[in-house]
Amino acid sequence: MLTIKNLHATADGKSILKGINLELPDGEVHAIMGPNGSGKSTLSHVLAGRPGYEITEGEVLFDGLNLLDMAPEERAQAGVFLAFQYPVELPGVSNVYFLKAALNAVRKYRGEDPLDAMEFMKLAREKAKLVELGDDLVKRAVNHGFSGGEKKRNEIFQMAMLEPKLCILDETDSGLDIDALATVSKGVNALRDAKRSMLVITHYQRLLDYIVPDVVHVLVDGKIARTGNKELAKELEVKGYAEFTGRAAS
Amino acid sequence: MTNTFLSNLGIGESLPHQGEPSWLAHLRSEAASRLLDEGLPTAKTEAWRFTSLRSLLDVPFASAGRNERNRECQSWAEEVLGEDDTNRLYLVNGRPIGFGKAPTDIEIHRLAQMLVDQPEAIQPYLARHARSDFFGALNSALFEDGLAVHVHSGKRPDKALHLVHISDPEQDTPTSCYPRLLLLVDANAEFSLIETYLSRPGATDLCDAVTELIVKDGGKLDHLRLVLGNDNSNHLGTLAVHQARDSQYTSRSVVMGGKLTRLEIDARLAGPGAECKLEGVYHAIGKEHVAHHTTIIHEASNCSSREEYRGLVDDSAHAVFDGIIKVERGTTNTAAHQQNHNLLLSENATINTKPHLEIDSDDLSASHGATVGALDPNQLFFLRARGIDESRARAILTYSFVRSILDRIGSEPIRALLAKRLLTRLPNAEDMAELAQ
Repeated sequence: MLTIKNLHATADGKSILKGINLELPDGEVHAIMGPNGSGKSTLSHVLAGRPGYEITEGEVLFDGLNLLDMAPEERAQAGVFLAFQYPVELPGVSNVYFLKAALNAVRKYRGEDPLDAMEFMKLAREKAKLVELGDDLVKRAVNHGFSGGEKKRNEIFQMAMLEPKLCILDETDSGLDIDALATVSKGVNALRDAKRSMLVITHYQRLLDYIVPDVVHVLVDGKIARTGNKELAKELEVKGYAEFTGRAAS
Repeated sequence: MTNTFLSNLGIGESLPHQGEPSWLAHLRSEAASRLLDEGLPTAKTEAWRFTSLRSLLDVPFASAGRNERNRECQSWAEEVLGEDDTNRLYLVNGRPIGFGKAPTDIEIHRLAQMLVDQPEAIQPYLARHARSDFFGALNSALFEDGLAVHVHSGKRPDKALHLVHISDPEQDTPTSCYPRLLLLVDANAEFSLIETYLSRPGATDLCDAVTELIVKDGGKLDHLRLVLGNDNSNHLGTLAVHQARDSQYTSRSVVMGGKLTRLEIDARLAGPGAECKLEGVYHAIGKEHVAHHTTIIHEASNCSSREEYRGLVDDSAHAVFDGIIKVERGTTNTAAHQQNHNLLLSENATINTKPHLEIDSDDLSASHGATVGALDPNQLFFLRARGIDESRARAILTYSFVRSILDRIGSEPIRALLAKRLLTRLPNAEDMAELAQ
């Protein structure tokens, strides 16, 4: 599904990713953990194509496509989905319009006919149930006036609608209380599939109690310092990242 | 130069307007003398610092005469506007071309006829409130016809009156016209007025329109003014509203198209308890110039005014917002708030924004603010990261920047018309009609 080879990236001339290698097979869920400033969010941004980063070395293959050569919208159409750490508010743009435009762009790429308004609403109602998103939130302006938890649920709702191959969850747990975390995780787990891979980026082990990963990578100073199974996350919870950073756990 | 411009228009000649009362002849000659004395505003005139009239000076305009194309103009306008839920009245080059079925509860007269038949009904209002700056004075000197509308006290016609103005220039002769409207909303009446200004393709046209609105005690007026011009059209609009005690007035100005559009909007809150809202949306592309100059004067206590203009400026277009709120000495319990927000869509576009308050009272709540910004890169990336092409993502964000004001327009067909017009003026915005729903 996804192969990252020796990926180096800079932002504002500062080196952030310093040679990442990662292989994410079909259907697997990999967690990327690491201390603040290790490059976790940068990795997710670079994979989704956010402007502002310079790739200085390396390559990323997604289903045989050279991901780094593609515009953000092409990546999304091809099946890459980034759930934002800070979902963006779009006053004046309804969730329904936004998602329909997005879904039909993705469907066009896949060679499928666009959905009409009826078909779309039927699908939206079904998927909204996954994350318990009410009809009013589905119809309101995108994330405008949503609570933190509602925004994150809306991200997973979008993910469910677009049915991506690769889901990148960037600190989806940040700002969520325990109930919201359970709801969001339930939605994510419902989307686990033998043909869908996930990269779950998080600072805390807590999320991985809900979304149980196949593999855990520890990212430190722009490189993967260690790879292990889900037990590695538990170990980090106890010991912190001090072993990797040389600093005491904060 | 100036005098050539004015003499081309017929200023300085004696202007016989048959059968008009002497007070009007006097008003016209005063306006003409002022024009000849003061000349055209230049870049040195503070209020005209950002709007150049150079492109108009050398154009040999001739006042539009009657032509045989009234039906053709009306059909063309019907095509452009589609259907709506209003009572329409069409005017070509400022002259009404038929009254259709007369709405009940209001009187609508040709201004020219009224000036012959009942000038005493017009005299207390005509040219009493509109600014007599250059284009206001030019209209006063030269207008030939227009409309006088009276909404009787306590009446609330259920449909809006929609005045569809069509500038119809000749193909080879630059043409000017001088539409004029006088509207009296009597005590406790409620009325909804729409003025739409369209220009047919042809030679350069100059539309110098004056609208005078009087809202008496407890009256309510909802006013929508659309300027939907083309590459040849120049629109100079003077709008004045005089508000009596406890009256409510809302003005929404939408400008989408026209080489040069300048609106001077003056609201006078003369009676206590009056409320005034001025709102607007402008979209300037290509080399278009759009300027809104607004003045709200709080003369009485317990009045409130709220102003919000939102603009989109692309290509090498130029937009100007110059708004002033004056709160006069001795007034109390005033609320005055003014906002102007602009989206700059191109490096070559220009925006001048000048919000200000002149306050001579200390019992009030007042605020003003202006912003000029580009599209938010986070929003743009968010849309693209969901698979939406960059050009479409831009169009979505551009439309959403102004829709809060467009959504307040009461008539659904007109809201849809404006959304469609805006979207067709954006690059690569096909298939976006649903966005407006």
